[in-house]
Amino acid sequence: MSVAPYSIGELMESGLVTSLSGALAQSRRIETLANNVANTDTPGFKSRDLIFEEMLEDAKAVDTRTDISPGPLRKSEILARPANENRPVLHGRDFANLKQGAVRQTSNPLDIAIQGNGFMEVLTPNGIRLTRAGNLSLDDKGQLVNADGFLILGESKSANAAQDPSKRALQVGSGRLEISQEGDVYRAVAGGHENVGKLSLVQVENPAALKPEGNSLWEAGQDAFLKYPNQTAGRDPSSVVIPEEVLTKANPLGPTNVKPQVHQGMLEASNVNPVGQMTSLIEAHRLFEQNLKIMQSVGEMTGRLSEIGKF
Amino acid sequence: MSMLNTLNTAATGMDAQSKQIETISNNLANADTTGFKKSRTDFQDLLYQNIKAPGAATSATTQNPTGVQIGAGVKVIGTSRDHEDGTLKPTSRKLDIAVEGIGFLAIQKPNGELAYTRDGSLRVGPEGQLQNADGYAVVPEIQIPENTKDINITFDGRVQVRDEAGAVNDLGQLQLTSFANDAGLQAEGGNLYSATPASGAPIPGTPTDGGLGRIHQGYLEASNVKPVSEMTDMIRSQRVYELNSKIISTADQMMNSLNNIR
Repeated sequence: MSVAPYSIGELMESGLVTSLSGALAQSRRIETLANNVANTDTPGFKSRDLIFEEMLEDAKAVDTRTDISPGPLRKSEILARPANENRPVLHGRDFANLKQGAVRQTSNPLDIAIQGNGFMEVLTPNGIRLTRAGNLSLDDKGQLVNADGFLILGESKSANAAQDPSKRALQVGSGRLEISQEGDVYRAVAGGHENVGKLSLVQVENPAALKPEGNSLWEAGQDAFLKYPNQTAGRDPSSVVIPEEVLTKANPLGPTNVKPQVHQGMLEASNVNPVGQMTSLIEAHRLFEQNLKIMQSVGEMTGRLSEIGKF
Repeated sequence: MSMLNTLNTAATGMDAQSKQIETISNNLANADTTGFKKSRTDFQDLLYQNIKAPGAATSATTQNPTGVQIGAGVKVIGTSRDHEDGTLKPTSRKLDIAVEGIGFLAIQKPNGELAYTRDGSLRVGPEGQLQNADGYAVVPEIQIPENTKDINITFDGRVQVRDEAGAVNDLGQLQLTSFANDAGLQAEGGNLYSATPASGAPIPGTPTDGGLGRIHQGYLEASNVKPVSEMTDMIRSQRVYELNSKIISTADQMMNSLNNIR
């Protein structure tokens, strides 16, 4: 195994680059925490966090030992990496904490909370998006819309209607609205109530493929593997083949074989946990300071080196 | 720089919470206003910045499963009014009416436009017409004769008077107006609302007919503000405001350390 030792200059540089990337990573993380805290009161909001791949991962990638038993890398072996493999930590992964938020009673008939793995379909100008924000409203035609005025879609009653989502609007009109736990929407009419359709509830088999779009909307990627538990017409669930690794992974939204339940007069609060956010904030802050400290030390060392030989 | 973004993000959080406190204070100030409907502040998350798109290649055969997306904070999407009925309070006035259920009384403002109200504390004007507390005429107009001894208003809004001689006269029927979307009405102050494109066109109708509410004489509808829940909302809102300010002070300290690095 050829070992190309670092020059002192390279070592200094790698120390600076590593700690700089660490400091940048932590400031990114604080940005994410700030977004969580700002959305503490946003209905249906899911908090997010960043995780960072450790530097050692890179070192393992170039571990070419064949003659010694596997174990922790020795210092000399980590340093044996070629200089151009010295990658900073910046490439973190962010992920949403998709756990159910607390359900709060509002007694407003236009507020609904979804319990379990389920999203509503919203027809936006960019296409159909998913949401769990249940603070609904009505538009001037009396159709069910979200807080932005985009149509909330119902299940299509025939295979034809599945082609044109705008035909799946739920016409409620004035009068008292009632939504059952299964998502059936009723409006009060003289002497009883009339069914105007059923909320289209979507289950997500692979939540990692959900992309937050802002405005409390999520865009489902192609590999999200959506399921429509309420749907009977126009969709053929058997045509979708879900890979084994998706099925075996624990679904943070909840299992898809349990139908989601709709609770009227309630809202799902954000799942931002202020205690968790504050401890993460302190942690990220301290790591940031430590990385700065290292940068400072490296700077001082370089300074001392340049003093050697001066008389 | 990301720390400046952090400051902005936390600032959107503080701004949103201060709007929420404004709404709560208006609700509490109107806790005793007849027919007042409480409002709520609705929030949404802002757009996300794609630092690294989900699905970006991490090697020749693998993709990043989630990517890195950082949000920019929160915005107030609107204040929605909760048109839930307030409790009906008995009064002893014959001209106090409360609507139980759906529907607004129509009122003609001095500029001729119609406004809608749930405040049924009515008066008889100088020319005998039925008016609201501000002196605006109730629509359709109802004229109370001078020699009236007693007024009776039925559940379905019919106004009957008994004169000094004991003869009972039917003066007409009050109407209620409903909207496709009550929450889209614009509050004008003075307990009045006006129709907007969001509320849909006013649909006049007869009380108790087609889902419209009933009229109760001798009652007023109290506000639907629940002071206890407003207070707990206020406490929560204040704490979230503080959490956001904590983020700002942390970002500030980090920038300070950065500036002192040499």
